[in-house]
Amino acid sequence: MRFTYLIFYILIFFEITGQNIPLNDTLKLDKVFVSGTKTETLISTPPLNSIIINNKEIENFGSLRLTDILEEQLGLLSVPDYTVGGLEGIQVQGLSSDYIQILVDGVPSVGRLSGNIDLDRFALNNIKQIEVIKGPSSSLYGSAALGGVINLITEKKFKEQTSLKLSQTFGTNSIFDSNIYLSKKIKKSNISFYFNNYSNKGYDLDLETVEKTVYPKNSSTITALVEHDFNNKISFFQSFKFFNQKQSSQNIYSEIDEFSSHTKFTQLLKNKWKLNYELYYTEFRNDDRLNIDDSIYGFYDHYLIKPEIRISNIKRKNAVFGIAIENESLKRSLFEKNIKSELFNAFLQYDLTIGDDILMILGTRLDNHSSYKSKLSSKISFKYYHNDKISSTFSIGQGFKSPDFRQLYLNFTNSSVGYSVFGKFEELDGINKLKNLNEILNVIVDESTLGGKLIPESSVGINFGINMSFEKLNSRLNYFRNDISNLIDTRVIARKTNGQNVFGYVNIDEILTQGLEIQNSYKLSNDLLVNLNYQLLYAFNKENLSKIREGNIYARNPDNLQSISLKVSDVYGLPNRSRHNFNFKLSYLEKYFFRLIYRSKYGIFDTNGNNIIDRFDSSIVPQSTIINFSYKYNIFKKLEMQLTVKNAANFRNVDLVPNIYGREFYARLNYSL
Amino acid sequence: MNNIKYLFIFLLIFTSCSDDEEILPSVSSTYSNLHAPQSGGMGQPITGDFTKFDFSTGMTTTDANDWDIAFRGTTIIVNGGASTGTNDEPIRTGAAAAGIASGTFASVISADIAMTQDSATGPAIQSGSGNGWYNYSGPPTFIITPIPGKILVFKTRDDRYAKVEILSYYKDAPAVPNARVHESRYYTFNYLYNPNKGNTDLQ
Repeated sequence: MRFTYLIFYILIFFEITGQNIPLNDTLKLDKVFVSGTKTETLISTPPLNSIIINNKEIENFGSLRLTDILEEQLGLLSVPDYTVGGLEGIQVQGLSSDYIQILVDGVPSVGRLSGNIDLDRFALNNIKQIEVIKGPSSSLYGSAALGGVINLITEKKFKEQTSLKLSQTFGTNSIFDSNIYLSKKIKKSNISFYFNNYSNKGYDLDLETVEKTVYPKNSSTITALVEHDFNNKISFFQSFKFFNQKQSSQNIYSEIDEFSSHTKFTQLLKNKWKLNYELYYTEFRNDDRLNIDDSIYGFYDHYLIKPEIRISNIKRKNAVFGIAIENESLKRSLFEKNIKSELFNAFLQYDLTIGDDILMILGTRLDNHSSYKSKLSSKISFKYYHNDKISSTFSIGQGFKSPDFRQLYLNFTNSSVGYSVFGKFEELDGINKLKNLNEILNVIVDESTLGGKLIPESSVGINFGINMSFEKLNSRLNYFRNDISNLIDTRVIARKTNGQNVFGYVNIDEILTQGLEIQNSYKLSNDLLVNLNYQLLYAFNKENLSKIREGNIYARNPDNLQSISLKVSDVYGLPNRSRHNFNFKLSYLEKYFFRLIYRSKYGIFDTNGNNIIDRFDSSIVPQSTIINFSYKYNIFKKLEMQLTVKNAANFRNVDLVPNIYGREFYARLNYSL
Repeated sequence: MNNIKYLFIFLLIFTSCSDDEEILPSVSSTYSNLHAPQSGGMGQPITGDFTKFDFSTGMTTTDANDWDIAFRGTTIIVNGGASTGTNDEPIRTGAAAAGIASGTFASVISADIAMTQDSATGPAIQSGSGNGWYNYSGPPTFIITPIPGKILVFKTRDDRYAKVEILSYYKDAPAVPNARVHESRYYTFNYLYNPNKGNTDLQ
């Protein structure tokens, strides 16, 4: 099937390139993209594989939280975290959310629970655009940008007339979402204030179990922002964000408090040199208390302070140099001690144009961290204009992800089952303590490998694309490949006398994700715009793949339960990856918005004991289609009503897809002054 | 053609007769629902008698000497070596040993593999998820799955060889076990027993 589409695409491609279109110089100059270089660049120019989602689309689709709008994009999948009910992570180019850096105005968000930043923490009304870079971006953003970057850009320029936007959404599962957004330009200052309250009552897909699938929660966000130009040369920016979320489950009451402050001075010097001083502070505190006696069950307090200085030259040749320090500390209930770490980084990025038709970005960054070896990441991107309609892009970049605190400092023993997990730095102490308690039967790895250093996981990503831009049709074909090595995984380091294992962390796995992205947007008429997108994805653990090729991976024949040797075609690869993803969007009259998201079948976890997801596993989710539809109309001039149906075809999979509730209805009122 | 066939049969008979003892055919069978209960666990010491199995009869036994392998919960021990130090282990009186071969049941054709006996450091078939014969899925399904492609190879108490493929740990070997529904600690396994002393052939 995929080949049919590929051929179809190639046919279209030659059909179009065969035509001789006169050259002209039309570039839209109003739209900018900042994530690619940390300076403002024209949207049309970044030679990177990126998606830009503007606030119009967020509004038109009736999206409330960041998850809602991201999962409507090609190749971005919202994947449930099976250990924490209701938590989801975003997958990009087949890489899981651990490898995706979430930024707000270029600064990183903290507070990852089992590797995922909860995207429901981000309300969207004050967002101007969301920029997504697919592929390694560590050359600019360091660790955790191994697989890509999602950067939320807040609106900062306002009109002199006071703007007040109120909106209220009611939805299935008692979703209430209220927004107050006030903004104004006063002389040389841009000021905004944003309040959001979001609550739902959760849902339960499996009524037989005591636990609900997703528990009720209530969150509030306050954002205040001011931008002030002192004169033509110096400007100042300050934003604050407060976020509070309360969620109460069967036995536990959980509260999250988040605060961040982002300060920036920009100074224009002679000869178009520009200086940026930036100070960012963020804290994320999560307390879990037992409902019975209000005692603390678990806590997670994460603090980050990050000063950064950048100097850039904004002529035609654009150069940026920056240095930053990141001081982090973490107190967590499962850790033996409080963790402090310090990171120093320096980055250099240089944009240049060669002749009239080649654009190039060179970037490199050094990360010097207190608890792992220093790391240099580089990226080169090219864009070549064959003519003003057709261009090719190529980029190759390195990414890395430093071992996270859990992998270094965890000290955990499961009280009901009896296994233990130690972070790398806790391994020796932990084993010795258990030995003294006579709980260790034997250590099964070379003891000299215990307690050493973990090295960062690293990746090399390649993106090669062809872009075509015509009056009515925009097309893009992109090949991507991400090779990740030194992936950190758990291994059994010792056996306990109770028959259970002691786990440690080790750099072991290598994975590969590769595929094709095809994006077409076609303007059928002034009122009708259609997007048809497709992603082909292969995502495998390399060692498993070679074992399968050698015939050394087995499964059980479900008919007689006997072992059989597996073939490559029997295997699904990494969990929760679909081979084929389609994404269709249609917008009519700027009022009707129809979207269809298709995923081919995929596996979630191994059920037949070979640690590989294959066609004999019972965790295979059949192909699924999600249909979303929104409609808006003006009741009065300033009052707008929007109706949204999400998952209109009512796709449900109670056991395997807990993050999809079923058909949902939303009604929203927007009032703007 | 017929002549060659007769010659072949003749040769076979001749070879058999030239040996003093006859080669006995191997016994291949399936044992269903061997119940291997245990007490304790979940942090408490595990106790309870092991369920013993004798390859030569193809049946479970309570005899103190005539057993080859024994089961309790997920633990499998052999009648050879020393106590692993858990409670209620039977005294080992034989010379049994065990090893694990990778392959399908049919593809493992010889018992010429590395074997060990039970000892104070643990049973010959190592316990724990992923170490020996099974994987434990943990949450959310809590399933014990025999690792596909792991064929247990045994030397019996009296120097015979056998191979075992465990098919299921749940009563009546459901194709898709559910820990909430199906009773565990019921072994169903295929085995092949070569009754000829010292003969490692497992075809």
